[in-house]
Amino acid sequence: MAVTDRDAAPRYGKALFEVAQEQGHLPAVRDELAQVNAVINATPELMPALASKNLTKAAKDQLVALLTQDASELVAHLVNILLANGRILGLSAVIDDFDARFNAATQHVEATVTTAVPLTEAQVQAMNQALAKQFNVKTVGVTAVVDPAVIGGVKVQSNDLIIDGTVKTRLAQLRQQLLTN
Amino acid sequence: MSTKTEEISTLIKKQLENYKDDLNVDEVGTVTYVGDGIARATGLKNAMASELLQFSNGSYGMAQNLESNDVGIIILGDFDGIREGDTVKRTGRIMEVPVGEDMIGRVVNALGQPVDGNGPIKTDHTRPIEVKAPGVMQRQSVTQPLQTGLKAVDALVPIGRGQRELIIGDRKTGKTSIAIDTIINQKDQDMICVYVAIGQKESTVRAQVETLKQYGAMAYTIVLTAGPSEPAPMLYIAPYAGAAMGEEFMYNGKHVLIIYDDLSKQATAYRELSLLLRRAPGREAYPGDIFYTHSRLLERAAKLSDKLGGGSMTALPIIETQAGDISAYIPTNVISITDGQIFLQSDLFYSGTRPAIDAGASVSRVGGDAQIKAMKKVAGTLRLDLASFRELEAFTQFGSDLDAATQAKLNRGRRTVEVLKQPVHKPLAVQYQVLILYALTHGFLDAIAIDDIAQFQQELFDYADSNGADLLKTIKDTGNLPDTDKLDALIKGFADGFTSSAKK
Repeated sequence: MAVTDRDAAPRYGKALFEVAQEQGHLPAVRDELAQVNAVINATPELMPALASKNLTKAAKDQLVALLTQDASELVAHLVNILLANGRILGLSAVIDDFDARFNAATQHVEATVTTAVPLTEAQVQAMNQALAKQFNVKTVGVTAVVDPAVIGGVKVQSNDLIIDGTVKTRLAQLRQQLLTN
Repeated sequence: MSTKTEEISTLIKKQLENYKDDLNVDEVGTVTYVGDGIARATGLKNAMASELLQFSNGSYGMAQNLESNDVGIIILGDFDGIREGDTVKRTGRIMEVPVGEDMIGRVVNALGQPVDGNGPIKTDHTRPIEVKAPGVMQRQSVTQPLQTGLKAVDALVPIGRGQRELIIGDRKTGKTSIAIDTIINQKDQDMICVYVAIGQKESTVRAQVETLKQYGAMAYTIVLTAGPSEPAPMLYIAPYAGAAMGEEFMYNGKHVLIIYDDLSKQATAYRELSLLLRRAPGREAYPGDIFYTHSRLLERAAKLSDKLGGGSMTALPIIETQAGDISAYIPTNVISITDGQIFLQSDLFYSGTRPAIDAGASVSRVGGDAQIKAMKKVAGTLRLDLASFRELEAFTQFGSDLDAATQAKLNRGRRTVEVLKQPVHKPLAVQYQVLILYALTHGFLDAIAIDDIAQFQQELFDYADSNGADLLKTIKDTGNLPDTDKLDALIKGFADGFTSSAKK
């Protein structure tokens, strides 16, 4: 079976992580990759263009040069290798893989917190500490999302885990229970 | 009005007490592909093999392929509302179906939900659909007979309780009729029947249910149907669900008869979903574990040891062949798993020999031990006689000068074939079977014209009912052949007074 971009991503992610670790540039590389990811997300036409058969190599090189103009040598090399190997569509997956390795090494977890009203600074702090204890890690990067539809309570989503204490879910459960009995 | 409000509020309060104020902690994945009854999802790192998963539209799925970065899921139910990017969460349970006494007399789907429109099934018992079959020490050998009520089966390929006997043949050769007749004959036999219809037309299943109702057989039967319009996963799990329903009774010391109609369609459904799950295709494009699919299912049929209650589950799987080819992949697999097969031939069927059992190719590997003594005595050499008759018949087809011995053998053979014919849905109790086979093997039919044999048989039974009831009772109760002189006298007394209706 053909190796998909998703299957290949861990190979590149691991290599990149190890090189960055040896050179001691881990946090810098991570920030740069985050910027690259932001650019990719902001311009949805970019990746299809890079993967396209209709564009000449020179044109693609120009696009890559623009994408990596402020980046370090390491990140520029990564993008060039992926382009040369025909794996450019897997760039996001490689970045995800790198982030996962970086988070595991630094005992860090990213979590999305959804509430009905914006959290205060103190609440975010408390949430941070509680989640760090729950996930058994040193630091937690909280992304706060405000969604009035949850009515009340908090929903925390991190990787594959959802901790749901929102009023919306409880109402749904209550409804289910009343319907079954 | 105020009292009513109060009533309602107390009711609600009561229900609210059951409602626990817990945080929901779910492990979720994201759907990356959905279609044709299967889905793939990333995440779900801790999902177990065959764990039940729930999609955001409420449908359930079963984890099948656990790969490094995604999970292949078969969807049990509606997959229209599932989209790429939806979440799918673990339930921590494995697939189970409702079981118990309340299922009897109902028509259910592969998930155990009623489809007969007779309201919900109130049972709180469930069993996982995949369980390990009873082991070596949990079993005992098959000793009790399972009477199918068909002379050709009970005499030639006897089936014991706890046996697995394959019914195999081309389309339209009467496979299902044998199974349905067997169910009908289990009336008052302390037997619970499970009829699993896999990929059978809804109209056919409806007709079978009506037949069973008409003969009062629904009182001890569960019908489980997974129709051709349902997605492949439902057809795949249907026999396991049926086996789980049967096992509940078997482990409670009861006797169960389960019919899988038919396993070739289940194999096709499993091939379909395996290919969609990107498992490597093997011979005839079936996946590598197609043998295991059937062997683990049929291994669950058993005769339990006395310590476990002595219950039994007899399995009659059905396989449809193409143009009589029993050496195709699935037929050979299932033949090697089962304890014998009943082979139905379309040539025999169309020449009017019904049930169209091919005596030469049909065997039963354990049932002989379970036959009652009287039947063993009268039918002992029937199979060989029939086989040699077929050979002789082919050999003498063009010759005219035959010696007396050959003539006699052909004569007896033709009558044997005639006696073994039986109309559909007319199962015969074992004592009558013994009586007519005794008459046959002792030469009482040799002088009767072949066209009159059916009439002779019917009138003999009526005569014996009024003049030899004690003899019939002996066979039924003791299983032994009664005093042969009395039996001879009875049959002779009837045969002397017999006149063909053609001459009347």
